[in-house]
Amino acid sequence: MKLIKFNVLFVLLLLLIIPFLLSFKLHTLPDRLQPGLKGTERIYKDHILSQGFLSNSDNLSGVGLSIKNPNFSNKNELVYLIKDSDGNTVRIGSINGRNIPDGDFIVLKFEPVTNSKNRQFYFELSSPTSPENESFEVYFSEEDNFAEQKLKTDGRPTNLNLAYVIYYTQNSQVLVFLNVAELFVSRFFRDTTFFVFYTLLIASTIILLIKQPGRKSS
Amino acid sequence: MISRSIEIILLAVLLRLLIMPFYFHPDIKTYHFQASFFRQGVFNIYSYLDEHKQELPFKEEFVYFPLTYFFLGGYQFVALPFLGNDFDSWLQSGGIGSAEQIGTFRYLFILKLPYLILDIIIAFLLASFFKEEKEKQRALLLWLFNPFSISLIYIFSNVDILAITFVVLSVLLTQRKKMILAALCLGIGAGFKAYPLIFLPILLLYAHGIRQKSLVLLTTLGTLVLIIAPFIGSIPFRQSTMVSGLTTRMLIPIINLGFDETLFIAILPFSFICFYIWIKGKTEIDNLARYFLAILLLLYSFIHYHIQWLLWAIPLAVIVIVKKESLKWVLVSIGVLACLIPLLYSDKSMSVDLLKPISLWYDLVPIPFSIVSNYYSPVILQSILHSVLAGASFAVAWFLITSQDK
Repeated sequence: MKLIKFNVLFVLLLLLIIPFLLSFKLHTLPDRLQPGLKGTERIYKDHILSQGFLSNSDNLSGVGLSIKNPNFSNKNELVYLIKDSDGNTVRIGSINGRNIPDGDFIVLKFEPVTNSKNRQFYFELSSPTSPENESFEVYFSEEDNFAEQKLKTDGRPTNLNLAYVIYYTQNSQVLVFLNVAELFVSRFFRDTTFFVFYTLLIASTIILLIKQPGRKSS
Repeated sequence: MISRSIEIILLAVLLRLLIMPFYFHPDIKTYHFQASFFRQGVFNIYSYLDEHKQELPFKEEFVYFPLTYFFLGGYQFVALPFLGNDFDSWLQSGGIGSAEQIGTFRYLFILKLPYLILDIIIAFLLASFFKEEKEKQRALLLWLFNPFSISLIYIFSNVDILAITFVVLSVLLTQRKKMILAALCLGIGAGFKAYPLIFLPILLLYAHGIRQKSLVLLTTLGTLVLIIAPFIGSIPFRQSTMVSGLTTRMLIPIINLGFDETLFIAILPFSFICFYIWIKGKTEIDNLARYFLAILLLLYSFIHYHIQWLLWAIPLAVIVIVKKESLKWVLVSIGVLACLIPLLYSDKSMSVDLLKPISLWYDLVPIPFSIVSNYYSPVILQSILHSVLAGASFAVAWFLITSQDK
């Protein structure tokens, strides 16, 4: 009986307690979901990408992108700069290719920019030590998000937007947890057929369990 | 007692159903992406992935033996009506798409259903080892209600359960002195993944006489050869399966003897156990699980293992614990230690990323590696834990091969 109780608690830990606790470790949240991915642009040597965006909130603290790095082959640094509308660098950071799994969504983090609301910024991506045949590749979006703020490659404008997500540091952890829970529930409900089936399955199993004859502790 | 068993199984199934849709390890998407080509009529997945590497969204090789490919691909045929039209686009998506798409919960649930079935089958197989009702119930409880197997199967999406089922069946058949069938099961298990072959020398020791030993050897290896025969000539097959994972990691830790000769440390204890059992002479049927478990414990001690590989030992540990309850907490301690080590790897998919179906934002939570880095070297800590694991495994393995039950 102890073994069964322990495992029931273990499953509750996995389903409720761990997600709850992890929510309190979330200090930054994205402003939206990542738009759909279409193709990639490469970053290597002198080939630099620059994308403009409007910051919707204060405490701008990260940019999320999907980056290709097949088999972790590129182990060079991917350097990112955050620049304001005057071209001044406000933040700089880098991430090593060893930490970029192929096609994964990576958040490029930096110290929060406190007065960032309604300000225009650019993020610039480069990898000066990457050879051309081992470039990083960043996904651009299939959606036309910002008509005026297009991707620039080596300073030249294109018709594309990178598939990026902007992150902001949060002041209230309770709000973060509620956001997490709300989004989870709404996503779970969206697959209505599965939601109904799954709920019925769980309910049926519980009913069968309760109706077992001669249930006793051991 | 039957009612009690049904109650146990129902509760175990319920706990598993609750977890299945919500934890995501990227391996399940990787190998199902690869297996999806079976629906398109691809037979030699190894050559196909190699030839089309440039145009495929994922470049990984298929590292399992062919039966895994056919099983997963065949299952997709059956499950496709329930998986829906967007399943293939989910398989091909990278980054956020993996855990964010609407169907993710459904896909994870359906793709893990075969594991649930095999999980319950293993429970019945383990109960079959024992004659006394009390021991049967104990085996059921230990397998169905241990956090290790629940985590390794349903959180880490462990496809090794396919091979493990046949290893357990092989041990059961050996217990019933059906050696050829046991050898066949070992060969079939190896057709999913190579690891069952490490038990073949012990199985040979259990066979009586040259004739039976020869038949056991031929059956196991012959079964495996039949399974891989269509692929043996394929270089990508040989590169993907024979020179990867377990086989290469066993050859990494070495002692240099000079003159270009080395000792492979991971093979040493394995050889020691086999020859010790041979010298000892008495191969009691009830000791087979002990010997297999001893081999695995020492294997984990000397290689950089995947956390999924720990599942290989759990059914064997269940058999041992039922017969020798005093080993329970020792083996649990070793299990906790063995699980802690991979959690300290610098790999998000070992911790926070597992919860991406619940929230993609968990990707932002620092992993144990990063947290420990603030205080101490996580690599040194891993090494310390692994050294402790090795010592503990030595002690337990020695006990397992030298002592008797009750």
